[in-house]
Amino acid sequence: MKKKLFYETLFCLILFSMFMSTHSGCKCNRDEKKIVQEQIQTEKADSSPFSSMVFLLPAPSEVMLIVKNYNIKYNANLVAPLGLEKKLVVSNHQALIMGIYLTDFSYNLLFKNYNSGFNSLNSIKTLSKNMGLSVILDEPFLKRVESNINNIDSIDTIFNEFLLNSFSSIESSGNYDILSLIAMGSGIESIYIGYNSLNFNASDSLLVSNMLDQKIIFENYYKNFVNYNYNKPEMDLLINDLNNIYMLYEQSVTFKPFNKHGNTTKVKEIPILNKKHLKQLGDSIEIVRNNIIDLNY
Amino acid sequence: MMFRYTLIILLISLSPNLIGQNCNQFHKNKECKVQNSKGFKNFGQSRSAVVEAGKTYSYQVVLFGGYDYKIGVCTEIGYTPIHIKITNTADKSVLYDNLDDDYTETVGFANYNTKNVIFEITLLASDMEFRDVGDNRVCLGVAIYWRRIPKLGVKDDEE
Repeated sequence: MKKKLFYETLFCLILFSMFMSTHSGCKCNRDEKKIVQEQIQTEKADSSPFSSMVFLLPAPSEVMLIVKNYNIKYNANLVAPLGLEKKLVVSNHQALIMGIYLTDFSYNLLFKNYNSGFNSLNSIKTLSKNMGLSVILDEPFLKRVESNINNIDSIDTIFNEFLLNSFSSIESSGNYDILSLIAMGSGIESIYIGYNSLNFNASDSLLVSNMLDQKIIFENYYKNFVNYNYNKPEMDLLINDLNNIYMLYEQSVTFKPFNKHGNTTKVKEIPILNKKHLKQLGDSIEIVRNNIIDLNY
Repeated sequence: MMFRYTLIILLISLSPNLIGQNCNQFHKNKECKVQNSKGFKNFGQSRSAVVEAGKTYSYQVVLFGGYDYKIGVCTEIGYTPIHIKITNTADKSVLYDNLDDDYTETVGFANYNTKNVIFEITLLASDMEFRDVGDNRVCLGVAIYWRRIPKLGVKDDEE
């Protein structure tokens, strides 16, 4: 009996000392697996060209909202064909197509094409299941979406919440590269829709504004993608094509110094649209987007 | 007997060593909430992360033109003050530095042109002493809210 009491007391004391060690000044120890994952992440990131930075990415619905602010019209031909999820086996393809479908879902909802939007969601659901993310996109969530499908504000909130939760889950499991692929698919689809919705008869100033917005948005998607995939040979072709798009965005709008009245102290820069590079940009975006749909990466 | 088991369970539940830390959704904490956010929505680039006190973390964020923004930064108790600096990536100009603002943890502004900005965030934790490895690792939340800048000026009467 005394021996039993001794061992129980000893056990409690050990637990107590562990508890105290975590509260010596502050707390914040984490389990070993998370520490190792983050160390690996840091080591990889340290060698990428943009390693010192974390690029935060807007939700697809937010990007589509910005595109729509330019008074674009809906074009059903810009939406990717559904059913691609049935033939996808490679996780990279699944992630890229998932990103495309997420943007298409947002695009459809923004223009109140609820049925098309809901069809996109079914494809997203299949992809999520195949990628092992079905715990996020579950039946209760789908029921919430269905019952709010005609209310853009509610569904926007529900969908953004879903995206943030699912991205957090993927992040916390350490799958940053899969997340970067989903994001890149979404980014490509966004600029594809944005570019192909442009009114090229509009004034140069409007086109310049639109191009600058797209360029800034694309930059984050592109650099985030490079950060997590720069050392993967199978991604070299896609990175090269994305880099081409990035350079063409830079060349489509250039800045020329404008010095009013020969004032030597105040020099303003004015943006100049380069229509030749603008056309090449559109072609490059089309090529990349079609390559993703045709599973060429 | 009951007392012993209760004590064991209590010690287990209070020991972060055994549970591990999860910073998921930390930015949804009430400490990250901003005042007067009526009409503002959550911005998709809000984030939570595990960071080390004393190190500066840089986040590049797209701010869309034509929107008001409110940003709340928060961390766990004891790790303040938080140094927040926002710079424009295009020309490296400093748009905001809370060093000049008593290390306030919320900031609001209107943004008229789409731009990429960098949030540089450092947990100064000036009152802390770190004695063990991992002591300085803590949750950080960056909550961003946005709303369209309302149309300004007088409306014409419609007949």
